[in-house]
Amino acid sequence: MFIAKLKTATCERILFSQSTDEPTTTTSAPPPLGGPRQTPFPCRVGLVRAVIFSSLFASMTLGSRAQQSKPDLSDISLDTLANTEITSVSRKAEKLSSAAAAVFVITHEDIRRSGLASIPELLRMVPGLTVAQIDASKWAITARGFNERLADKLLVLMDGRTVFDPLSSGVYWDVQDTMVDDIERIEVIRGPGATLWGANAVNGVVNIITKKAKDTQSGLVTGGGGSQGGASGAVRYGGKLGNRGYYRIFTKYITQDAFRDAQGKEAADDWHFLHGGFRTDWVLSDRDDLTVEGDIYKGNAGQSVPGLLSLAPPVVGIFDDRTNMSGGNLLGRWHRGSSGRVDTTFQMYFETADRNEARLLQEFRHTIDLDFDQQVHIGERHELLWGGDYRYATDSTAGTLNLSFNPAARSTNLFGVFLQDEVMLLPDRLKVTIGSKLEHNYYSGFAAQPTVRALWNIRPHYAIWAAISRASENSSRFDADIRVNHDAFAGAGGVTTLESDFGTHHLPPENVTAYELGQRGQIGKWLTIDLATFYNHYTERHTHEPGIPFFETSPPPLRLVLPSNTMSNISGETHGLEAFSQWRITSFWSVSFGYTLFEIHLHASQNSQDFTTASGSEGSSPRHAFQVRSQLNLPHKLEFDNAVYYVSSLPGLQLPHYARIDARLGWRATEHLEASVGVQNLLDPRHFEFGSGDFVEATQVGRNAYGKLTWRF
Amino acid sequence: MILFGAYSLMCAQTVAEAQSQPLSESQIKAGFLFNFTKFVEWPPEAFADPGVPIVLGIVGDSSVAELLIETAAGKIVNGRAVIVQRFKEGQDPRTCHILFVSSSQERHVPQILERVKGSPILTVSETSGFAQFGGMINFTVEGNKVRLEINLDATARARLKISAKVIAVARLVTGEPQGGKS
Repeated sequence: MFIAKLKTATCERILFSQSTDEPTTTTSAPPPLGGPRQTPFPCRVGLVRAVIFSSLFASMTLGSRAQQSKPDLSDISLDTLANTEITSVSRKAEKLSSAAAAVFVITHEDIRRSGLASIPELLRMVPGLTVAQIDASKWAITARGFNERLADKLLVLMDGRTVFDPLSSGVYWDVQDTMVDDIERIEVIRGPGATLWGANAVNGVVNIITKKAKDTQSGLVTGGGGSQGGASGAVRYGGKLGNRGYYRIFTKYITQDAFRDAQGKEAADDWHFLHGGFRTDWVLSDRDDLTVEGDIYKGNAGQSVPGLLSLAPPVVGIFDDRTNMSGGNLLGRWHRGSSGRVDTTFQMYFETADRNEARLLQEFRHTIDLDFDQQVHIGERHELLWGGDYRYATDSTAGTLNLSFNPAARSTNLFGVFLQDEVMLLPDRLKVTIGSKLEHNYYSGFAAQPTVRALWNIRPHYAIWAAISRASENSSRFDADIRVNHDAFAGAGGVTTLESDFGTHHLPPENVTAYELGQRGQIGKWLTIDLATFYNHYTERHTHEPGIPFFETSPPPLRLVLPSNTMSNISGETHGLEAFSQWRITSFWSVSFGYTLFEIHLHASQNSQDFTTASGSEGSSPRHAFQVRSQLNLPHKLEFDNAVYYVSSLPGLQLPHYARIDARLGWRATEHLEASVGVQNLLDPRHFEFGSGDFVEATQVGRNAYGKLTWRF
Repeated sequence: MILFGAYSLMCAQTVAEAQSQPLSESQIKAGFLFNFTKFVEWPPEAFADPGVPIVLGIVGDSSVAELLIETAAGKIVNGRAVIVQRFKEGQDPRTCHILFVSSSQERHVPQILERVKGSPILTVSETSGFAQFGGMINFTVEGNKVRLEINLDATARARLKISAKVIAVARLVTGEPQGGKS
């Protein structure tokens, strides 16, 4: 459903075809800077059509290419051109300067030079995202608060396919993987994106965009390993399919030894993951493109789980468990851009996932998702984007002593429509976007998710933006159908007593109203700044309220159950500031700085007897976080890259603050061969980044020295 | 501190080379295309008289076109103005000196090459195999950089002289045994 609103994919096409209505011979007149230009919005130059968020960018843009920085291309020498990285900095700047939202892009170059090997790790680079590794294969990632393992407010998409698990309302990061070398960029919006993306884009959207098959027309073999017992290897090959198509196929294997537990002993969280996939891109006609891509994976990961070991007698403890995961997906996306005025995209995917956590839960799930959207230019000033989506998800689960669903199997439908109008109030100066999504969810019925955004270019290369939005979080099976037995003991008369949490049907959806204000732009030639502030008001957050005790006889033994029922009793506010600046000190050295300040205040209503949920959520995200990253090009094709990350304490998890330093030395020996060595977590032998909970015992992230070799052929 | 010390040390040793500013793929391609006007020598018959401008033709949708128009605006190369002209399907492209075929026209490449065969036109594209099948210069993207493939047999057949500066940054390829597209 959260398809790519494939908008700018085509924007370069629109841009061009509009002016090709008749062949033009241009001599020296530069495009007019004043009035409405032929280009309705700035487009990424470049061949990348991949897309997705671009819609959001494009839809919020204040379209003035005239205001983008324009190097004089006629003056650049052949040598320089031949040695210039295709960077996305300009692309990034171009887009960033035109989106009325807190957006950030991780470029391919950032990815390559970070030394970070997985998607969740790469997200560390995004200021304003909180990334904490829980154990060898698990991460807690969110934006703007409420971090936990299955954080429910961040929507994550990979090439237009949502990887948000509908059963648990979270992302299983241990199965979100791809060839890191084939990621073109990762786009992140902090703040609500629900108008376009639908529910669960409450605090942010992460969009992972892989390269088009056309851009990976060669072979690549890469492999590496580290002192923490991690190793990975991958092979990719790309080629042509007749005259009109391109393909690539890849396979990748990751293995990670167990991390250390609190006592410094080896834990049981080793992780092994095998993954294969393909992507094909076809040009069907001048107007039509088709992308077909798919993945298949299989893996297993250990974990230590705090939970019930037996009911008779009641024993609670920590046990080792193993998760077996397998699954696959197939996605097709057809896009038609006609005459630059109308742009249509249809996407469909099928996904299957099997996740067996032997002593917790077995989940088997199929998802079918359809998405349609269309962008229409009306007159000079309006750009309309509308669409609809539908998702069918069916699951069957097998519960355990610890965790079960009632009913064990369920099928749900989710559908939504959205409409958004982007109005250029003052050409090239002020643009306002108004839109809403209306979505129907099985558990909580209809929800409207409107937004109003404005972007004002106060001068070239500098814009101020503001937005007010409302987003809601879909209830999931975790909220409605779940039963968690979290404690058992011998009560009065020796009767086994069980403390259990129960889900509740038809809870109102959790809502946020978000007020955002930001500015970004370029100061001088080499410095960019990006500042976003927000104030979010949440209602209907869930609590667990005690219910009426009852006896249960089946299955034996007889036991007394002390239930807690899920209710919506918390409201609260968060506010904060996210700053990012990139400074190109010289042509060969650039440094970026990021800082995040986050404050949260949650209030349980007076009749609530849940005294832990609010304070737990309050203390699960850091108040301060900062990062400094540096990329330095040295002679002899060497690269020296560093990153410092600081995260303040997490009082809700009794975790102290920590700092992390990563360093990397890369050598691009030839066009074909690249080698790198590096150290991560230079400062201390190991530390926790997150606390235990959500059915997992946290382990410590250790210092890691690594080496990596990549060969292109 | 240590890191910063290390930086300053290494910066001192570093020569400022390459990459004076970040460029997108299209910008780099547009930069190359404009540069070709300076580093290609056309036979005299390519220009009817000394005042004739150098015509950069573009077939297909591409953001390179816009960038080139902006780049070429007001520029004089070897005493000639540089103008950018877009060609639609069916238009005769033989009035230009450099012809860029964007990837959106990939499947028309054989017809386009056939059409300009024998004319002193530098053909440039961004479709794989272009320079092997009768085209002259092809842009490829390798390791995050734009590379040139050049087929000197094809340029010689069109009586174009390519400067060594271009050849120095390009990879030479040869045509298929059949000798290019025909």
